[in-house]
Amino acid sequence: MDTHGQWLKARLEEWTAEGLITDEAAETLRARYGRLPIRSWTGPLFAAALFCFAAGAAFSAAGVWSALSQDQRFLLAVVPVVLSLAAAALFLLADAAARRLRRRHPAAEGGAPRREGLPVFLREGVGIFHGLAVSAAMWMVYDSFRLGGDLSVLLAAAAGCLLVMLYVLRSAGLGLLFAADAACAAWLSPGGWVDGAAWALLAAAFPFFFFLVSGRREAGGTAFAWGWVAAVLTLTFCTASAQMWQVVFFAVAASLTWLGGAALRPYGWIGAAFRFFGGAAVFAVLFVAAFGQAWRGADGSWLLWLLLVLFLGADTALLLRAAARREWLSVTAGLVPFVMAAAALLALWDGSGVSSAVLVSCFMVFLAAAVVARGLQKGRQWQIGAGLLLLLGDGAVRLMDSSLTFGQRGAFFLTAGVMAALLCLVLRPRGRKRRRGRAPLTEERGGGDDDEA
Amino acid sequence: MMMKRSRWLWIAFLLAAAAELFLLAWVRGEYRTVLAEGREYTVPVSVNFSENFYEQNYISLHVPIDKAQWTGAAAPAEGEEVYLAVSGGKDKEMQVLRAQPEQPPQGDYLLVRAKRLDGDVLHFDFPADRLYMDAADIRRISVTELAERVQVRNPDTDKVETRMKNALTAKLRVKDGRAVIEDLLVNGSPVTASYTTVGEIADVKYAASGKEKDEFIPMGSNT
Repeated sequence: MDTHGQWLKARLEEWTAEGLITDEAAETLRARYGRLPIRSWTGPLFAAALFCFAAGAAFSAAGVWSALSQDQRFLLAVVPVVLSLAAAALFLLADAAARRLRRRHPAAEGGAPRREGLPVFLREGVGIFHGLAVSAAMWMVYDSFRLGGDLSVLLAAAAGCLLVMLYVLRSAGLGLLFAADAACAAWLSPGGWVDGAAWALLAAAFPFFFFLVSGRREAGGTAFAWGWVAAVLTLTFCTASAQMWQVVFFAVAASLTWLGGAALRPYGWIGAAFRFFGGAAVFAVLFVAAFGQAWRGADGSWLLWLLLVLFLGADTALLLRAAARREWLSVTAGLVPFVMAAAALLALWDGSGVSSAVLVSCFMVFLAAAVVARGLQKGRQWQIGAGLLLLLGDGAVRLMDSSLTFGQRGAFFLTAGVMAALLCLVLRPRGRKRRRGRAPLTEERGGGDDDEA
Repeated sequence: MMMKRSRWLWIAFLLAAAAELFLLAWVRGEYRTVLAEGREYTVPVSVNFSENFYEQNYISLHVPIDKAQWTGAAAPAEGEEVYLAVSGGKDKEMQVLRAQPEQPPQGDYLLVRAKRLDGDVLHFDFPADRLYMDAADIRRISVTELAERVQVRNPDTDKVETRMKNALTAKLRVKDGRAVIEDLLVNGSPVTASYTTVGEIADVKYAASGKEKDEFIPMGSNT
């Protein structure tokens, strides 16, 4: 837990022994920074305390829920909402007062980095309390005064209110609850306008991510973005019930996450987390899409095709950005939605799904080769292993997938063998003289990908 | 500039807060309005004993009105909200006239969600399935008596049939497409007034075939 303190203690001993600093200076530094890392646990502990209080209150209320009358239930639902609104109002007042105070007395900070408003954990606590109170109240009121299957409508309306509160309170936790509300509304809705409303709400919440990132709230930004992506995936599954469309939209979301991670590279681990999450999702969806079953019986409304075209537009923008930075592996990942779109078009023509599956398989080989090449270039064993695993997985899928006849499977492997042999021929070791004459590859050329991808 | 931003922030906050509270109050108000002002109907029901009967503040009921003749030109999509025209027959018994895509110009109607269309018969779930009661009142109801079944010979078919011993009906209120169950009637009397003695608290498991018998399992016996 105290690794920073231990590191500092060891360095201070070294520096005093070497005479770089005096004993007094070392003591001062030890007193000032020696215990700093312990403070870093206060945030998680506070979050754990909040969670325990919320869980305790929820379970206690659930214990007496069935014994209450309708009016008592209504009160139990409304009171937490009112309390959370009061807490939010108090927070906004105190936050504004703190900002005013800091603007009037900038010297009061004592030269420390300038911090705006109240601490983030208070903001998150208030936001999460409000989000939980509103979401729970909607369910409690619905359960107590049921009038047909209106829970999806109530949740959509609640998500609309939470969207406004999201931009007022600027809490990432509230953003997660908002995304969950919108996704649940679409999930419970039997179709119709609620699905469209959920899409519009999630689209309206997307700019909030930039608020978080521009405020250097990276952890909050990551959590919100993952929650948002999960909600979008849920919506795509609700909107597009056919497996083909689910695969296509999942691939789009996975690819956008990877490319988003590439765009967020300057923000450190937040970008790495996105690339890891997106990469894993891209590999997973490619395995599913490589089966012919996923593409059988393809059809779709113009709305789904329009949605796909819009997503492809967003993908193109991020892809061009990655290309400008010469991040070729990210560019390859950005091609996934286009391959899926091509496979979807093929599926309309070939209803058996074989052509689409073979196209996806060929792209998997290409992506695997790109991953392996990147691993070789950077000397990363794990990346080479991941690429080879993808290649082996593709082979296994082609062996197992019964949508291709034995003849088709044989033709696929023969073609792959010919391609591999040709590649061997191209990359075969040259004559000694020519190899001596070639400049050694000591310097890395091209490739803007950094250590993470 | 900062003051202006702060003012808009507060306006947005107050509007959202008002909307949240209004939404909660609206659901309760809508329910109360239907209960107070809705037209009265009766429908045959069966009690759903599969849920934990005594551990809730409502009785779960099943209304066997789940299909009607579809009069629309095009088939409704699954989940689409359609209108069910209803009227009151003898003893205010609810009679389903038809299902249609537009709101009937006169008379009562219910809003239901289409499940599927078989020919011109539309299938749906009845939109009301709960009778809210105080938990203390529910505990006074004897499941053993409420669930009792008898075997009677049908004079038309001359076959022995298993039927509920007591005729269960629900008193409904309908207004603006909404339905609320107001009371459960046992042989025409409110369920809370039908049983003067407190029965054994039990779950019921109906016989699945002629070789089996209905079972009443005392609650708390961990069976």
